[in-house]
Amino acid sequence: MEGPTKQENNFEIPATEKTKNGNLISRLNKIAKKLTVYGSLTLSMYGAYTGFVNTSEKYTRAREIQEMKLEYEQLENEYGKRFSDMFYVASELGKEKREDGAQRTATSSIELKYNSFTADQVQQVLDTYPKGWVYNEVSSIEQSVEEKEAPKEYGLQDNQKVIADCSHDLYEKSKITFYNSTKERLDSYYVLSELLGHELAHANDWITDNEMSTEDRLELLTAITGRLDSEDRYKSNYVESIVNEDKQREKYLKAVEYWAEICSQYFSDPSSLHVKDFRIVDRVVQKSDLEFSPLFQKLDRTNLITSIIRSHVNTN
Amino acid sequence: MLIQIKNIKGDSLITIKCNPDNIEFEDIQDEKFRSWLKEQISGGITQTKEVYNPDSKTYSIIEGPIEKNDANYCLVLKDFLKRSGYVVIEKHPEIEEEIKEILKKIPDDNEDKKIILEKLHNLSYLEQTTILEELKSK
Repeated sequence: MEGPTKQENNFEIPATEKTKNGNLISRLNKIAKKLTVYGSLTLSMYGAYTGFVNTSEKYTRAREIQEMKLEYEQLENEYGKRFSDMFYVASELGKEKREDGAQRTATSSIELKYNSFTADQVQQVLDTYPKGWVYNEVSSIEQSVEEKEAPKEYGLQDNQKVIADCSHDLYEKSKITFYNSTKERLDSYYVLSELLGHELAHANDWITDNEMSTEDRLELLTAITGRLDSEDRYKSNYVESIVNEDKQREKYLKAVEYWAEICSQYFSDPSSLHVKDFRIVDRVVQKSDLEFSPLFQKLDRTNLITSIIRSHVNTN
Repeated sequence: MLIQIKNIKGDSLITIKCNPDNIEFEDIQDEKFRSWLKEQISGGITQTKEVYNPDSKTYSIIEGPIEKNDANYCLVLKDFLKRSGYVVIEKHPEIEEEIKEILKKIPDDNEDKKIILEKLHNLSYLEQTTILEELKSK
C-alpha cells in the first residue's frame, strides 16, 4: 500500500493575497527549506518512507485535517482577512523560530509599592512560570524610569498612564515593560503574579508563541472563541470594556484579552477558574512544561515574594 | 456579583454583593477594612484596561478613572482590590444550585451524592464546575 502524500497528512495554512506579496515572501522563502523537516511533515515523510502508516491511521489523519480546515475557515469567517494573513505568517515563522533555543530573559530591578526586587530576584520569580513560556518567548522584562502617557488616538481621557506593555511583533521575541507608574502604586504579588501572568500570555498566544504547531494554534483560538460566546465565560473588564467600530476587530481583541486574563488567573489563583477555561490554559502549558503545577508554582511564587519582602523588612 | 475578600494571609475580611447600581457589605469580619473600602469607593477607584497600538505592535495596560454607573463597575472593583493586594474570590451560588438540582435525580443513599452535598459549599469554583461538567456528561 502506498504511503500517504504530504497533502493528505498535513494541513498547510493557505497563503493569502497579502502574504503572497511584499516583504513577507522573501522572509518565507528563506525558511522554506527548513519547513520540510518540522512537525507533522516529519510524520508524513516518515510514513511515506516506511510504509508503516496503516489505513485506519490514514483515515484518522484525513479526518483531523478536515477538522482543521473547518476550524480555519470558521476562524477566518469570525475574524476576517487580517487574521488569516497574520495567522499564516505566525504558523510559518513559528516553525523556524522553534530552533532558537532557550536564552535567558534579560531582567532589570523592579520597584513596587513598599518593596523593590533585584534583577536576580525577578529571575527567581520567572522560574515559577512554565518552562518554554519565558526564555524562548520573551527577550526582556524591565522597569522603565519613564512615565508613559496612553496613546491619544483611542479617544481616551487625558493623563492616563501606561502601567505595563508587551510588544507583540511576529518577527521578534516579546518585550515586557513595567513603567514608572507601578512604583509606589501597585502591590508586589499583583504585579509579579497577575500582571506578569497576563503579559506572558500575550507572548505565548496563537500568534506570538514560538513553539506551537499550526494545529495547536488553531485549536487554541477555536477554544477561546467558543468561550467568548459562552454565558459562563470568565468576566473581566479587560475583555468586556473593548469596543471597536470594526466588529471582527473587536471580537479578535477580545479573544486576545480573554486568553491573557484566564492565563493570569491560572497563574495567580487557578481555583477561581471555570474548569473549561482551566483546561484550555493547562493544555497549552503542559505542552511546554509537563511538570508544571499551577497550584504548587503559585505557592512557590507567593513564598518567594514573601521571603523577599521579609528580607527587606529585616534589613531596614 | 458576590465577592469575598481576604488578606494575603487568607483571613476573610468582608463579602460584597455588587450590582451596577448598588454595593452591599455582608459578612463583615474587619470593620477597619470596611471603612477603608467605603472611602475608596466614594473617593473614586481607577480601572485598568488594555489598548493595542498597531504601529508599535504593542499591548499597553493603562490606568484611568471609571464612573460609578459604568456597566463594568463591579469587574473594575474586583480588579482594583487585587491591585491593592487583596485576595478576591468571586462566589458562584448558581453553580451550587445547579449541582443540587441535578443531584435530586440521584437516590439519597448514593455515597458520592452524600460526599458532594456535604462538601459542595466549601469547594472552589474550579472544583464545583468540574463536578457540574461531570454530572452533565452522564
